[in-house]
Order: sequence, then structure tokens, then C-alpha cells
Amino acid sequence: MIEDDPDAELLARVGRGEPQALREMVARKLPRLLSLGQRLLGQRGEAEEVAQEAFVRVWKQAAHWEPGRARFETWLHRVALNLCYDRLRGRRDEEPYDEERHESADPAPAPDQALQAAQRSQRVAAALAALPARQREALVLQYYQGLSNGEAAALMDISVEALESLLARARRTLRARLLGDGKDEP
Amino acid sequence: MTPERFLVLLDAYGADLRRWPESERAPARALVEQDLPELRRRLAEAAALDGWLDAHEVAAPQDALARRVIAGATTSGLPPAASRRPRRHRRWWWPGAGLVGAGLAGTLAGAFVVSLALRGVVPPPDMEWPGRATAFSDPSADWSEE
Repeated sequence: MIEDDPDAELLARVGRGEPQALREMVARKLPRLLSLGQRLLGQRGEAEEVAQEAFVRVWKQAAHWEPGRARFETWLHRVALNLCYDRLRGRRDEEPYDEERHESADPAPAPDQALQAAQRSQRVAAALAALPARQREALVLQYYQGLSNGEAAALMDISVEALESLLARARRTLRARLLGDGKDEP
Repeated sequence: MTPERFLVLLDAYGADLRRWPESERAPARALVEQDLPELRRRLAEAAALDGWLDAHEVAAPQDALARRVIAGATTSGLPPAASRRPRRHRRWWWPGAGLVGAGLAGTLAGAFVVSLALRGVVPPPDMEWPGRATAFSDPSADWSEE
């Protein structure tokens, strides 16, 4: 039983059809859904579409929510993950990495410092995108989304040990790609 | 915790012990305090990678997107609970509240209902995004403006 779900009260209001509650839920969760979608899919536009679809499901399903069975945050990640899987399945597995496909966080012209930050961000995005899907998923859920190892493993339908193995392989690959000779600090 | 176990977890979760499984943090911290040379070196490597990972930014959502998300949800229909309101409530709303009641009653079709439903939910120009409060207070970590 999940006893302390910080979203339960707000979700109940959403389930009663309160537009203000939905607005608050969007403010609370949209950034996290975008974070998840953009890092898994590599594209802002697709991440926004996933977030939109996820909130349609929140709105429709909120009234059916049974408090205590799961954390809403976990359920929302499951919904968004499934939507991401659908899109990833639509891509060819051997599709080569396309630099332009994976957008930088901020395409606007930027001063030097901001430009460097954007370039670093884009380089990490490229490295993430080049990871095998399951490794990327593990890293995004655990590192960027801040889910516990148990939550991330459950979402991926794997054991915690398997999750840790995926994480270690992902980090090893990223270290080689990003750090290289060890002199290239962010 | 053995140094070997520490390194296994370090490889998976990185240098920030706040990202480690809760049950492992205290023994890991105790091991770190021993300042073993090999662990210190591996921690520095992991921290360098964390620094890179934290450099990956996801732009915060704009208000227009939030409005689209809200509109997309509310125009998909009312939540089942809201649409199961007793009829007598509908009658109360209908003459009194008119426009708002019409949206809840679900008896009007199409864009008219849509426009009413949206009226109350379109956020103001400056959507109030929650702060960056997380389980971690490190401002350098990108938690995507959560």
C-alpha cells in the first residue's frame, strides 16, 4: 500500500472534473514529462506530444484512481513511457543517429557562455541518443527523473540488479564518449 | 560495505550518494570517509561524468504549451466522475450558472461546450510553475525544473 502520495489530493480534484486542479497538475508534472520524453525520444516536439497525450489520460482516468495502490507519479511515468515506446517502435532500429533530429535545449542565439552550455547539452543529448534504448531508459528514469531504483526497475519490468547493470553499462559508454581522455571537463 | 560493493554501486548510481539506494547511503558515506586512494579516484571519475550529465538541459515548458495541454485534455471529455453528476444538480446549474453549468452537464455538443470548458481553465499569461524543490538540493543537477 502506498500511504503518502503527494499527488493524491490534487488527483482526486482532477477526478472530480475541477479545471483548476488540472491546471495545477499540469504545472506540477508537465516539466517532468517533458524531461522524460525529450531525453528518451531526443525530440522536443515528440516529447510535447507525449506530454499532451499523457494528460488526456490523466484527465480521463483520474476519477478511477484508487489511492494506495500505486504512486500517481509512477503511474504517470508508466503512461508516458508507453507512449514513448510506441514512438520508438515506429522508428527503425538501425536508424543512424541524425544530429539535426536531436535538438538542442535552446536554439536561440546565445552569448558565448550560454552557447557553450548549449553545446555541452547537445553533446550529452547526442551521447544519450546513441545509447541502446534500455540503457538510456534506465539512466533517464534513475538519474534524470530521480526515481528510486525500485520504481525504475518496476517500470522497466526488471530486477534492481538488472537495472544496476544497465546503469553501469550506460555510464561506462557515456564516460568513454564524453570524457574520452579525461581532460574534457564540462 | 566492502570497497568492491561500493564500486559496483558507484558505477551504477554515480558519485552523488543522494542518488544511491537509501539503505546504502550511510555505509557508503562511512567508506568514503576512510578516503581510500582507489575509491577517491573512482569517485572523481564518476563525479566528472555526473557533471557532464547535469549539463544536459531540457527547456522548461512555455505557457502556450501548458494551455495546449490543458485544452487538449478538457476537450477530450469530462472525467467520468464529473459526468456522473446527479440530474438534479444539472437542473440547479442550468438556469443559474448558464454557461458554466452547460459545460458540466454535457448536454450541449461540439465547440460550444469546448469553449465553455476552456474558459475556466486557460491559465494566465504567467503560468505558475512549481519551484525546483526536489529530494536533492544541488542546484547544478538538472532536475528539469521539476
